[in-house]
This record gives sequence, structure tokens and C-alpha cells, in this order.
Amino acid sequence: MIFNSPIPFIMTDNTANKNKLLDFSFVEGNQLSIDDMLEIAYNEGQKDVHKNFKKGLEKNLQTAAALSSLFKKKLSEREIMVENMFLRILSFSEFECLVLISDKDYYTKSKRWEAYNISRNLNANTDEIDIQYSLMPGSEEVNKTSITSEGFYFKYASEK
Amino acid sequence: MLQKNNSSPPFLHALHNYNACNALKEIGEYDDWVVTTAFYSGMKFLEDKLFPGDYTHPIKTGENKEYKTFTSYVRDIGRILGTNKHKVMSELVSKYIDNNEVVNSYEDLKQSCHTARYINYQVGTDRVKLAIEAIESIKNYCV
Repeated sequence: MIFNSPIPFIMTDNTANKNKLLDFSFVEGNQLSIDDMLEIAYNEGQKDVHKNFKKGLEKNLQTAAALSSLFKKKLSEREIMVENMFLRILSFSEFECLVLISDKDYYTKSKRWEAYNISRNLNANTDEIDIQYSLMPGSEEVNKTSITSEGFYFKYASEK
Repeated sequence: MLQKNNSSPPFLHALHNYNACNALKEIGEYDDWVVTTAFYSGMKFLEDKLFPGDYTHPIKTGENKEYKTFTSYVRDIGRILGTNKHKVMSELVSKYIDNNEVVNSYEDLKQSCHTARYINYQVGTDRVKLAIEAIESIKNYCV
């Protein structure tokens, strides 16, 4: 890889056709140019960035899964029955949990609106991630191909 | 058909969608579009209700500003890769509309419309009824 962006403290000694760094020159016998070293450092840095991104995403995904389970628990405490849940990643820190609720509870306005309140409170108390809870009635047959094509690859380990 | 009593673009758009929603409901064969037009009608009614208005800057903490339009508010979020306007509108509605019935009716519409894709838009009569009740609540509050 060639670095086109000039880095201010790097000078090129054209006479010797070797790079120099201010008052520093190369140890004799060294086979690497500054370009070579920058490329190696860049590649190593990329690996670190990738590793940190993956680690962060895993952590956020775990948080999303934990919050989804907590949401289900809070709904159960208010006798709102969750029939199934699916989870998808929207971005590094944004997630969507699709929650299928029993028809009886979903079409009872007070219960549905209570579920909205619980989801708002959960989100308001979470700084790390943003999770959107999408509610729908359980009897409406979710099309599996459709939801996996939308990125819902995680399904709640149902007790049923 | 609901008549115009306000000439702001969001209000006219809301009416346009509301009338389309009722016309589609009368036809009886386009329930998914009834839900969709109800949602977009509600969104525009609330946009008209919320703007112009004074709000805290979406990014700069503590800075108040007058926003003439919803788009000017969204612009101040300043995201290069685009902003989820539905999410922004939901947050504005729950934060600044001081009426629980309207806030939850808007959530009903947003969610009914959003989750229709997961059932291949095979929207049933219960979902249509829910959407119609919700848009009527929002319209009554806004008009």
C-alpha cells in the first residue's frame, strides 16, 4: 500500500534514496523503508480496530439480549403474555426486538400501551445501546424468510 | 372528506393521506395501505402540531432554538449517513406531546405500519380497526 498523505515529520533523503526521520537515520542493514513500516503498522492497526469493533458489538448484542429478556419479564409481571421474540442488529449500538404478544393482550389497549411505557422506560435507562421494541399480535403468522431477510437472526429460546 | 383549515404543507399532506386512508378503507381491498396511509397521515398531523416550535438542540446540550420545520430539526442532528426520521419523530412526539392517548396512538400506527412487512402485508381487520382508532385520536387532537 502506498501512502499518499504526507506526514509532517517524515523527510526523504533523496540523495541516499532513503527515508529519514528528523535527526534519526536507519540502523545499518535495515531492509524496511518508512513506507513499509507504516503499511505494517496500518495493517496491525486495522486488526486492532476490527478486534475492538467485534468486541464492542458482541458486548452490545449481549446487552440487547439481556434487555429483551428483561422486557419480557416486565411484561409477564403485568400479565402481558409474550409468545415469541426475535432480535436483529441495526448498527453498532442500535437493535430491534420484535415481540409477539398474545392476541388477547395485544388487542387490549391498556396492556399494549403499558408495554409501550415499559419499553420507553427501559430505553430511557440505558445509555450504552438503543433498542427498539416492535410489538405485534402473536396470531399473525410471521414469515420466517421475510424476517431473516430483514436481519432477525436471533430467536428467543421459547419455553413452549 | 375532511376540509382544509390550515395551509401548512404538513397539514395539507396529512389531510391528503387521511382522505386517501378513508377512501381505501371504503374500497375494502387494500387493508395494508389503509394502515400505511393512516400512519403517514398521523405523522404529518403531528409534524404540523410540533413545528414551528422551540426545542432543545438535538446535539448541543442546553441550547434552545426555534425550528420552523421538522426537516430543519433533523438537519441539526447532523448525521452524514442519514437519520432515521421515524425514530426522531417518535422521540419528539413522546417528549413534547402532552397527551398520552395521542402519544400511544402514534406508537400504534408506527408499529402497525412497520411490522406489516413481517407478515407479508397480510393485514387483518383487527389491525385496520386499531389503525383507524389511532388516526382518529390524532386527528381530533391536531385539527
